Amino acid sequence: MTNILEMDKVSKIFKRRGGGQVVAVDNVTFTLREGHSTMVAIAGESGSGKSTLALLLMGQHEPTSGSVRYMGKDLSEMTREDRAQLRREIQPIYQDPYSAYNPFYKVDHVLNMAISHYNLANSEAEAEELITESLELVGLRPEETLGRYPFGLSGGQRQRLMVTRAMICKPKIIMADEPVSMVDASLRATILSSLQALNKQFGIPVIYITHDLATAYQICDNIMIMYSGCVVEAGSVEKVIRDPQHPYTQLLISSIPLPDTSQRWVDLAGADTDPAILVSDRRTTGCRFAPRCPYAMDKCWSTAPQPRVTGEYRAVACFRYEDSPPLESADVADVFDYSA
Amino acid sequence: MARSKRKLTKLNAHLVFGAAVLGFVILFSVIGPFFVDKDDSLLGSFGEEQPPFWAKQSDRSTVHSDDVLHLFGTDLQGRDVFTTVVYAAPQTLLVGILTGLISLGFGALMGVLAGFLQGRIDIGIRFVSDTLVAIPTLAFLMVFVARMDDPSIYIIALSIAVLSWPGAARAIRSQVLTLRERQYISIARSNGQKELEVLFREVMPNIFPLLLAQFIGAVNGGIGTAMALEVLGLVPTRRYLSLGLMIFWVQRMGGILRGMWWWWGPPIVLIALIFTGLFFLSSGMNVLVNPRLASFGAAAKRRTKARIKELLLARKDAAKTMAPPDRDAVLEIRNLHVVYETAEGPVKAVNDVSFTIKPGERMGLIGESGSGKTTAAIAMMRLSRPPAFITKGQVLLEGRDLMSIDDDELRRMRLKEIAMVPQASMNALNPVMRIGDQIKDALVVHEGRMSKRAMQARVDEAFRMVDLPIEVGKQYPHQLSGGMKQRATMAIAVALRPKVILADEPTSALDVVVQKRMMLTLMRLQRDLGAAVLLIGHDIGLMTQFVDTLGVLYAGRLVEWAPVGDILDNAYHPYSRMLIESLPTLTHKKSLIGIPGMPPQLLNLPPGCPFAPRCPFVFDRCREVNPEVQTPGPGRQVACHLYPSHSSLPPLPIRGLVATAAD
Repeated sequence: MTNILEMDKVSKIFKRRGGGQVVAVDNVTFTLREGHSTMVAIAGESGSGKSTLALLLMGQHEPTSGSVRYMGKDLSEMTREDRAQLRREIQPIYQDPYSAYNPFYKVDHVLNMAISHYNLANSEAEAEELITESLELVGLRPEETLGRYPFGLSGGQRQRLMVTRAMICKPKIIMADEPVSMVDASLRATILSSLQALNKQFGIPVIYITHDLATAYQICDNIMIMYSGCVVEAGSVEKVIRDPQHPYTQLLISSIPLPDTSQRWVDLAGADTDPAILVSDRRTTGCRFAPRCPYAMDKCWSTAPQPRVTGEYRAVACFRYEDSPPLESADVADVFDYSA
Repeated sequence: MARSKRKLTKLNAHLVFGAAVLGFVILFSVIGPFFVDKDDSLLGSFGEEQPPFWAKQSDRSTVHSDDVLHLFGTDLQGRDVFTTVVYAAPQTLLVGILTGLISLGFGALMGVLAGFLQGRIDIGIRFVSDTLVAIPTLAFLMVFVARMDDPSIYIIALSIAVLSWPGAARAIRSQVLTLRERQYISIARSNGQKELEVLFREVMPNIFPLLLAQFIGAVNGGIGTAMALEVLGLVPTRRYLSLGLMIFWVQRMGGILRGMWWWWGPPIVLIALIFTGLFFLSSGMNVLVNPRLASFGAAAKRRTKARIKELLLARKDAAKTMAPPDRDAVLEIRNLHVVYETAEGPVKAVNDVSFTIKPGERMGLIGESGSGKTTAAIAMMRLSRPPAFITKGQVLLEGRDLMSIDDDELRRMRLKEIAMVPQASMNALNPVMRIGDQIKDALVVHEGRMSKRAMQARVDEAFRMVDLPIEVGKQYPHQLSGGMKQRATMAIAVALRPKVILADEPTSALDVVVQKRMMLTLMRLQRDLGAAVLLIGHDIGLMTQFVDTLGVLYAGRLVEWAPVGDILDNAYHPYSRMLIESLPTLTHKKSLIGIPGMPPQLLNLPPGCPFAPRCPFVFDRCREVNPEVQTPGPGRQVACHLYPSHSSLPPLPIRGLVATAAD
């Protein structure tokens, strides 16, 4: 089985101005396999390294160590043509549906550019047909979207048009970086279901980068939870989100404000009694989460835990699960559930 | 409908005036030469030896015949002043336009290259331009130009442009730098566009307004610099005659000493016209590029002030006849209306909103972007600033109407009785003041002088209430993390123990873990103070966790109001129900269903219910009559025509369920 995209022990370190450094991505190994059109969520809070990971995968950042390969080719050894191909075949959908459009042009511009540069149509009529078909797939009516300027459309329409654009390019991978976080709640569902449609109908794998575990659970099959550049937990969403094992995943999930009055946050006398919320000043050379972890043991501070397979379709990097067998390959995609 | 086109057709007065004045000068310069004879002008005798200016009028021969009509009179030698002006004016314009073209052409090229290519090219260009900027332009040119031998107008323009292009280059570089970070540039690359194409097709069209503004600036600068040199006699040339040179010759030939105003007056008037035209053209252009500037005129300010006063008087009148206050409520909002005055017309951002909050109650106001939730909160504090105007309504705080009391009383009540934790509140702190001093300031203003120790005790208490270490009081805002800044703003808001706290999306910029902690703090704080809280936001989950009652805003109207549990279990308004159904859950996978269509434009809202175009239950009446607020059950309000004929919302018709595909 070949891999479309491979990340092998990749780290990315940013030098800070005036000394010091930030480890944005820390020794991550992850593959996206041919023939499995899975939707993978990369989830974490701000500063977890999830967006840096996406940029590394798209070849827009050079890894400090490790290698990223697309179709078996190392990104750092790619020719100009290879890079052009990579750019075409990994299509991004960004967070901000406003700045994704050039205000000078009508929205058709982005679709027309893709069609003309990738020779996707032989005639005007063919191009028009392609656009109409693609728009319908994401639930947009051509007469309500085309020929307008970006500010004449809602955030939801704009973002679905971006999905259309990505789809028209016939990509091998869709990289969606927080595609709904700047869109109103009532319009989110339509964008996410258009991403899902793209994934299901054309079998294009989608990498969904998000801080919102609820949407990740709804649309993705598999998930990687990132904390401070490391993958702390990975597996099928059913396993990871319904039954989180890593203390950080547990903290994340317990912090989600659920729209359910029977699961209200306990209004304790002191909010700080929730131990996982506390941050210790102690420096760690081991597990990155140790300063916030209610279960931190001595070795957590000195050694980084290796991922362990704690059950079917799941792996966790935490010393509390040391009895479980290690994930030999270190590739978190080994525990993904591809049955969906 | 293109906004840019609308902007261009709606020319502002400055632009029209400036263009008219300049147009007049240009027309004068172009048509003038057809009516006069060059030989009659000063320019015509440039080849000849000039008699010394001290020569008496009778000593010099009259070079030209007197049979022409001397519109502005003649100079000492009897040459026609009007004719001289006609030949000088176009040269002044020409020197400006030439300077503008050279300076902007080269500056734009350098700016675009530096901004787009960056790296070494950028560093090199910046080095050269920074060096040139450091040279005092006028002083340098004085020395440089004065040594030239009979320079042509092109040489003069080029000399000025060589020193002035860095200004344009810098402005354009920074604009290109901003634009190249826009996501549409990345999208263009993903669309297969090559770098050069990205530059010309995606970046350049967007710097066009800046280029135009820079061009006018460069023309202005060119004319000004050239004129300074010319008037001072530092341009040793007889190859051209400009208005500046004309003034120089007038002075040189004694016209000023002799008080011959008709000689130097006309060129000065033309110069004034040129600069006036350029000034209005550029200020008009600025308004075109940035329409907000339009409301900064003195007349506009006076009108705005008068409007605010008039509205206050009207609200005072209305308050005289208002119904007695609700004794059970700490805050009562009655028929609040807020309007944004825009160039296209009034936008009703908050439209007849009424609700009450009991002491110690936690209420939520939920709505999507543009629903008017923040506008309403700001209006409740009477902090609305033009173009927002509170046109009608009462906000009763313990029976006193904040909308009609005097400014002094209002100031006393803010913070002490009602306080606000604003959105993006990290920006609400004063960056050059220690956090503790900011709290002390508030205490002094509202509670007068107190002993140092009492003051410190109050400050410490405020920090304790928001779970901040007391040492934070000695720190400046930039030393704090986002979450801590948010807490510091909260500390200021609660230091005076207000009865009502308005919290406008206090956690919108925070991660979920920090958000939970912040909300728990707010919850405890609220309980300790016994204050009522109005939480404004868009996240139903967060509302469920925090509030007792929930108001749902749509298009500036309160469409539903009820205990939060009741809304979740049994929403009456179709919008509330669909908003809840569209939420993803953590408990089971479901197909995601959104609300079809888009939120309405509030400008020229059609009659009827604003949700009608998106509503699966819509019937004729909804499109004609805006539904009144009804009370379908105890403690519940809804504005929907389905009631009272229904007792609860029927199951969503199938039309709502297939919305994703058909929208």
